[in-house]
Amino acid sequence: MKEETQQTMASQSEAMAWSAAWDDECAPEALPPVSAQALQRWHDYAQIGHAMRRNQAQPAAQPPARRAANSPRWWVAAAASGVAMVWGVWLVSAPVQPGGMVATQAPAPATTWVALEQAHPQHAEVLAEHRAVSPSALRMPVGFARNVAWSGQ
Amino acid sequence: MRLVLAGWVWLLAMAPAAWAQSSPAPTLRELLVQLNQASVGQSYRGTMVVSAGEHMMTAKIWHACSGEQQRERVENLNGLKRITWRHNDTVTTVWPNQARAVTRRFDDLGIFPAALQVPWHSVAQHYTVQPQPIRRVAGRQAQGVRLQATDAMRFSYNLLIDEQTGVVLKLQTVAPDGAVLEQTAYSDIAFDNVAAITQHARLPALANGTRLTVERSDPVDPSAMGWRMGQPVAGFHPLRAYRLARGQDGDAPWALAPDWQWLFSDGLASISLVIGQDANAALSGNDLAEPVAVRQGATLSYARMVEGVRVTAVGEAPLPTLQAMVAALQRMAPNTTAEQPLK
Repeated sequence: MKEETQQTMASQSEAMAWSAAWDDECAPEALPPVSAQALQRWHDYAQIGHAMRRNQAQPAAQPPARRAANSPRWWVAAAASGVAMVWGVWLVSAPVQPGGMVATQAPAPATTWVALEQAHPQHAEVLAEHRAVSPSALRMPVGFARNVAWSGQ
Repeated sequence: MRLVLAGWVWLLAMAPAAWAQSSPAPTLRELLVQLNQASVGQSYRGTMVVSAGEHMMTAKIWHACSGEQQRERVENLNGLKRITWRHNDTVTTVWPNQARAVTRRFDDLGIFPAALQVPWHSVAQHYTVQPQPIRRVAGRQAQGVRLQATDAMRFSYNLLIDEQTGVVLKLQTVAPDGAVLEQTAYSDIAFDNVAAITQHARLPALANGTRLTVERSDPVDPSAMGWRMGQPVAGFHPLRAYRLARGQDGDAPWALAPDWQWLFSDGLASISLVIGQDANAALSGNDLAEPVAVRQGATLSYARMVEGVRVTAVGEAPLPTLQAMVAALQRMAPNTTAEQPLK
């Protein structure tokens, strides 16, 4: 099975190369004399190559990942995505200034997360007071009851 | 056969998109108006469940609205027994087993249409409305809507809105990474028997011997207190600043909280900056050598020292937002006349 697959892939690669040669510069009349069988084989390979190229241009005819990976554009897009991803990570991790601008100065001091149980007992009052007064357009529809349910926990 | 299967897969994949296109999404403004109108135009009773991580609270709700009168009763079913009544902008909480109660009249409780104030004008710049599929919740058909934050400086919200009444049946608060931080949902809700709902939602006379504390919010001028906000996180507008005062029945003087609070909102999320030296505002009893943060559900707290003063930011917003808000605080020379004697 594996050997058969390799042979198929080799045939397809060969057909692609031959098809390109046929299209670009190797018209039959420019080629050295060949046998009729060989000419027919070239023709067959060319047909296969054309079909494969058409398939490359038709997204639904080939699995997306394989189709994309065969395209140089995919590699350009992947490289651009990689750069954008790195920039995005930097953007998210960078300190943010008011107004949404990214700060260029030194980052804010490190923050230590504290478990709620470790917080000062009176912090519950701070939370309750915030919930008691926090304004929101969703407050009356659902927020008031939510805030009351939380308070005292 | 393969083609038929592919057709079904395609149909299933495209169904949500087709649904979204078939029902045009309301604008954020329209949606919020509808939600607020529904909340003041309906009377209902039900059981609400709030869950976040290992926390889960349950409360019985009675919500009665008639004309301009809004009454609400929230009775916690977990922990210490506590019942809260709201009559328009006055909120009274009673702890029956402790024979104590607290009452407070709010200047701005967010009652519609007053809820739609300054941040209302810019809220649509920071959230978009995305229709979601219809779901079933509390035994009722509910339309899904996502209020998607346009940046990572605020949370998003998933709503399930009752198809018949427009009442919000479920609310999810979603972090920028997609994690659901908190859920509030009705497990059951009924819109019948309005008379009984109204009766339950009415504050009864307090039991004899109940110690009543009255709270009020005394306005504060931040600049007079020696503080100004440089440039808050985009979309967050200052709404008001106040200091909490508490008094007992009788002629006892009012006790003024040592900290004052500055409120900001982007229309949906709100942030409180609690500014003061007192440990009340701290997340730990010790001096804050370094900033500390705590999260409870969708509410985060972040505290650090700013020029020798302890500042705690509390809000339904990501940590970077709270950090940026505190970083934008600027200390000026305090005005010695800021401390007005209590009346």
